Formats: sequence, structure tokens, C-alpha cells
Amino acid sequence: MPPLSLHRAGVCLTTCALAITLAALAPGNALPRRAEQAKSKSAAPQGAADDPAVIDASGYVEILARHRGKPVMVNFWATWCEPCREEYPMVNELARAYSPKGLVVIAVSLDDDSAMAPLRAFLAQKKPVFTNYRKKPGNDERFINSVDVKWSGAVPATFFYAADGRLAAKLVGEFTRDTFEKALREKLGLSAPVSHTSTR
Amino acid sequence: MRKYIVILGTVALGLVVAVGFSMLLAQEAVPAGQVQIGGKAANVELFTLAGEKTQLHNYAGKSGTLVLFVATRCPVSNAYNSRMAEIARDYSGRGFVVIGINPNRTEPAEEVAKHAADNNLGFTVLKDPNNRVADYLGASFTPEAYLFDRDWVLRYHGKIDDSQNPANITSRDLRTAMDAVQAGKSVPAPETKAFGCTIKRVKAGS
Repeated sequence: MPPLSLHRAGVCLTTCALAITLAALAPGNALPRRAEQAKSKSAAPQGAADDPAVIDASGYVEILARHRGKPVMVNFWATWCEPCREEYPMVNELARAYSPKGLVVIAVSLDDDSAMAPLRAFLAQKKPVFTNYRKKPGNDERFINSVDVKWSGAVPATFFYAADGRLAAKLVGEFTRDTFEKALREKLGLSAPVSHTSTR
Repeated sequence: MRKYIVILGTVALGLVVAVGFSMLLAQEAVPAGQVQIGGKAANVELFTLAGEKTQLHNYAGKSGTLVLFVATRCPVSNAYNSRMAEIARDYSGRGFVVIGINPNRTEPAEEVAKHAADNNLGFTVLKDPNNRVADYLGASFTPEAYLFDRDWVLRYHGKIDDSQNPANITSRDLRTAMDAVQAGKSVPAPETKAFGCTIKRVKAGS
């Protein structure tokens, strides 16, 4: 048997790498999901495995700490909040445009356990490209104050954190995409995406 | 000389824009309320659903007045319809006047009237067309409660209770506050918070 040549070894390695990559990308793959990455891009019906991870006040603080070193935009919303639902696609577009620039986008739903069906349906329809969480029901006031003691709890509310963890800006209520982008650029220092088309 | 004026003007304009924008980003789009706990509410103007002018102090009660910022289309506010109606029923016999204020530009008076009737709210609801009273009190979402004593001193501000779902209530903050005010005692937790729908304010310049 002839000794394995470098060329053949290279072909073999490349083929193996390609096969592994294709297997990983295939829907219904067996690779374990990270507990907090509950976004689903597959066409599979929504179920408990895809639900946003539930977090409490200290969980929220941990998530922010985990992303220290990168600018973070956190959008608080709920299926019962119509302006929240209306701006969610815009948040998704901003995530697409600015994630390559280093922005971390997170959404936290305030829906309680009885709203899982509409929540799942909404997420399946909107296909977020960012991580979604759900606030653990109860202790609302403690949660609100731990996010920002100056926040009334009104939604929609988006909080902008600089890379050093500092709260740089917040937008509570309904605002245009331009206002969001100004916050990303002027408060978080992100540069404008190369090809930007405003859809709002 | 003219060149310097133009430069100065541009710099000044830039500063104004920057400061204004910074203020916008630093705050919720809600003017800070002018009435804090312990402060008195002035006799501000409101409108009936028939469009007639009225004033806040027309709704004075022997024990005090409860003002509830409410909405017709906010599911959170609607989750509290029956609880607000019950509070109005339970406390009107105890010297409190209960009024609702609808501050949403998106919800016309006719809709507010129909909603109040359909949901048997049982208390007067007024309109705050330019958000003046919402701005004055610093209201930002619905439902949001402001409890005044008979001298129009603000004694409690915030949530009705701690759960949108009535099955999970653990503290009935507003009722506790009303009991305290009626008894002439201090309110244990005068400022509380809850999630709710933002008030749909009139846009600047309109």
C-alpha cells in the first residue's frame, strides 16, 4: 500500500471538514444548543425547546456582564404591546445591519406564562436574528428597578449600553428607526452600515 | 466679520442640536412630573367626553381623589377594568372620588365613552387632549394611579397591584394606600412601578 501523500491527505481533510460543516448546518442537527440561544431559524414548529430562556433581575445583570466589551442594545417588549410588536421588525433589521459592526442585540419579552402561544407564533413569524429572553413572571418592580431605577416600566423601551457596561441612552415609547440609529452611532460609537436602506 | 458670524452660528446650532438630542436620549419621552409625593396638585384643566372643559378639583372627595390613567386599547389597562371598577365601587362609599383620564391621542372621546360603558367602569373618565395633565403629573403608561388626599396632596403613585393576572396578585398596593389615606395614616410604599403601555402622546409641533 503506497504511503499517504500530502495531496491526498489534504483532499481528505477538506472533504471531512466540508462534510462536518454541512452536517452542522443541516436542519434538525444533533449539535447541542446553548441554553440561552433560543432563536430558531428552522422551519420546525415552535415548541418548548425553542422558547426564549427565562431570566430574572440577576439573570439580566449576568447577561450584560457576559457581553462586557461590546456595545449592547436591549429591547423590552411584549405581545400585549402593539407599538412593541410594530417596532420588532425594525429591531431585527438593526441587528442585521449592526451585528457585523460588533453590536449585541437582545430582546426581553415581558409576556407571562399564559402568553406562550402568541409569543411563539410571533417569534416564528418574525424570525429574529438576535437572542430573545423572557422575564420570569413576578417581582416586576424589582426587575424594573434593577434595569434602571429611572424607568417607569412603560414599554416599548430600549436600553443602549456602551462597551464598558455603562447605560449610554434609552428610548421609551415610539421612535423612528433614524432615532435608533442615531443612538447606535452617536452614543455607542458604531459606524453606519455600508449599504443602508431605510424601510421606515 | 461675516465669516465669523456664520461660523459662530453654525457652532451654536450644532450645540443646540447636540444638547437637545442628548436630552432626548437620556430620558424617556416624558416630561418629569411636577407633583411629587407630598406635593399638591394644582387645579388643572381637563375635558369631559362631551368636549366640555372641567377642572381637576371639581372631583374632590371627602377622603381624597383617585386618578387613574387608562386606555381603551392597552391590554394591560383592560386587564384591570374590573379591578378598577371594583375599587370605584368599594371606595366611593368611603369618601373617595374616582376618575379616569384617557391621555391617548389615538383613542377618541367617543371610543373612550363606549369602552367605559361596555366595561361597566362605573367612574367618570375624562380626556386629556394635549397630554397636559399627563405631563404635569409625569404619567408615562396605562394603567397608572395617582392618589390624592382631600387637600390634593399626592400620597400614592404607581401600580394598582402586582400582577396583570388576577390569580397571581400578592400585594394590592393601591387599596393599601387608599385604606391608609382614609385612616389618616402614612402610605407604606408611596411610589411603586409596573409594566404598562406607554401613553400615546401628542407629537411635538402638532
